[in-house]
Amino acid sequence: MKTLPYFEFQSKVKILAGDGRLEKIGEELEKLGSRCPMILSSRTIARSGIPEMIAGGYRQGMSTGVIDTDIPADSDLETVKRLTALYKEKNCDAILAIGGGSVIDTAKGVNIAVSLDCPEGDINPYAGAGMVKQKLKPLIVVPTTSGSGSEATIVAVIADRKQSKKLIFTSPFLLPDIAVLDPRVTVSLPPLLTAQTGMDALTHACEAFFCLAHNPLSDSFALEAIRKIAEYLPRAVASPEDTKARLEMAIASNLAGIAFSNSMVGMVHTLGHTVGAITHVPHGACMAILLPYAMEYNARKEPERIGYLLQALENEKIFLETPKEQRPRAAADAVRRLNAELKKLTGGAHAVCFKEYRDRDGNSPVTEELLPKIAYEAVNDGSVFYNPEELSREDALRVLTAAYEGTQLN
Amino acid sequence: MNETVYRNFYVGSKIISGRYALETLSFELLQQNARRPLCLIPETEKAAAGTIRKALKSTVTVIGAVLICGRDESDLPEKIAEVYREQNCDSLIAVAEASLMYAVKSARLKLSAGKTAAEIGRTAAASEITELPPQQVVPLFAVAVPSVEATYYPHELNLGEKRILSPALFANTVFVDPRITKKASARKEWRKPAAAALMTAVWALSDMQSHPAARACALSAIGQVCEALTARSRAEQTRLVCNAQIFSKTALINSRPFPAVELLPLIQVSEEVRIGILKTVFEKELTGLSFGYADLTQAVLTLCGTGSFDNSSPQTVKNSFTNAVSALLEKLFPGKPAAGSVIWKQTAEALPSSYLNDTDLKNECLAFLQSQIGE
Repeated sequence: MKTLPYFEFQSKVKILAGDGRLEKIGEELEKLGSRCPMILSSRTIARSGIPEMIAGGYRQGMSTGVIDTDIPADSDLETVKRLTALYKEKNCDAILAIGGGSVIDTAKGVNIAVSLDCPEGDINPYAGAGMVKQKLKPLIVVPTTSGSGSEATIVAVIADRKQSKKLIFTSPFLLPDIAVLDPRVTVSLPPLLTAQTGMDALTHACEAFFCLAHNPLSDSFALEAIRKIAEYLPRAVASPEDTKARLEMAIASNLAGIAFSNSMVGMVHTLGHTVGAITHVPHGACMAILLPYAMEYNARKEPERIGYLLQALENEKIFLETPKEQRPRAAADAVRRLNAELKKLTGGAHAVCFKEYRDRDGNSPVTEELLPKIAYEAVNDGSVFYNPEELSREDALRVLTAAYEGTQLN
Repeated sequence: MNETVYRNFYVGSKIISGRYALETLSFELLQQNARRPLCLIPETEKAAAGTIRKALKSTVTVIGAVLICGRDESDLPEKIAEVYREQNCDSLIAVAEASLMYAVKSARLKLSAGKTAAEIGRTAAASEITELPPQQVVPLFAVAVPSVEATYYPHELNLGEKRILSPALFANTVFVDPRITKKASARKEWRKPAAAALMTAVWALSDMQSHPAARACALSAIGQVCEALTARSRAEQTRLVCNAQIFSKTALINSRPFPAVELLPLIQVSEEVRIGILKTVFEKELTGLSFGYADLTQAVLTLCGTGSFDNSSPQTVKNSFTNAVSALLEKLFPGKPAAGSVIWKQTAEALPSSYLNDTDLKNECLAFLQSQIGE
């Protein structure tokens, strides 16, 4: 399979992966010259004893400056300002973020403020692409969901609630110094969330592989991630305490994060972002439902790459025995089978189409009437530029309708 | 609890590869707050200076100075530091060969820490290097050519008896541009670096505990070598091989393969021996691995024109892969590969007696080699 004649790749995050890695954080902090880290996390994590496990590995004279767990679901400027003041008050010298995308983005925001000495913690002047141009304070992240890949990206999204807008910060200096993947922080993730975040990671990997900015390294990272997710996601959902499956999923999510942050994503995210914005269906659930349709939709333009996913989703025997022209559809069907298995393992909670998705109150937020509005707004999403096949509003509606009904795309 | 731990994984440099990669130089420099680089060119690659000037034309970057560097200049690090200061430069662009890379790293230490590399010992390296000023003070940009040698490690400064290993020594960005690599290919045989990259990738793969990301890099390297076989132009071939070298080296520095590999990159042995080692590693070290090679096997076999393979079980796939790589090597070096104990004997004889104070490791390596030789 040919690779493109030009690519860029970077992943300057040191990865520590395995059981017992939390206790190694002290050693890493010492190497980074820190003795007093600020910990940002959620209440659940703080109660789980994880900060104590980390402190168990601290070197002599090292202590946690402060633990803050009051971080909103969408990180915002006010939280960044409050935490900046707290960081300074407690004389911290590094940030340790234990959480999902919001906690990690907040940590990146605070790091900009404390490193660049922003007056009153206002990071607004650094919003945009490449505005942060110097090394920041040490940042270590411990992702608690295996899906977003935030620990591998150069992006932070912080809401400016006064202006009702989201500020996007991109800079290679926003990459954390270290990502710690320890299965003990994900074993408490409920099966449904495990399934949804896992399918988010699978989507990152698949889109990284077949979208337009793929490169030889992101290809390999993506394929490794897909192999692991196909094998370990059902195991992690079926047995949440299975630390081997949890570790492999954390690694897969990280690999997928590195892959997509170097080669972008496509129409699954184009449509998924809008479905999520309008109906509040969780991002992972949208990804799970839409992925097989995007594979079918793009099969005309990228038959070889999408067909090749079958090798990673199933195995080489099935791949080689499947006629070349049938591989793209077979790969999409493999994702559908994975979704069906996850549905079974979660007692029906993991939806395989929008029609059967239910929120916590048992309502169906996605209705047939909403689909034209979603299709109309979706095509303005930036991710559509990297999709192999052009996506018109009519096509978007066709895909959404099939994904709503749960039927194959013709 | 059954503990599972992978080795740490780290890639210190951003990689930009392809035609017009050099046109991003100015942007990358600006990302580091740098606008006035000192350009270091090996005397054998003088024409590269023109290519870089052209790539920076119409940008805000102004080349502070161009320094043509001879291969045997012992005071090169000091000379680089002197010109850097005199010309008020704020970054370095190095058209890299292994020897120049070491000189540049040494100069960077001198500029940042005020100490010569020789003053920083291997054991003291970690603490001294973390105390360096932020990296953007002296950004190092390496324009890679396919002569990146087996001794070249991106995070290593080799001072003969001493080695400094630190992530701080990675270049910020590595540019692989066919306008530079094609010049090198005119006098360098691209197949040799291809074989070296293959061997490096295989060594990395032989580490059962390496992080999956390291394995992904190794597999990418093999894929790039396969692609190079059918590339349309020599410039593209060398670019792909250069990619393969960077990927495989990235895999290797994040792995700890079987003991002898600690020494092998430092040993001057013939190409036949290196190829032989590669074959032997495939045969002896990879049979226990548990991941699928079908895709690569298929690619290699297709390139070698030997058709389909037996995919009835994972073991037959692995065997096919081993055979396919042998076929690939045969295609690269017709009739050349050595085999058997001869290669290990030559390797053992080539061990530099002065290298390694670590007696245990040296003994371990020698024992390994002797077991291969059968003595």
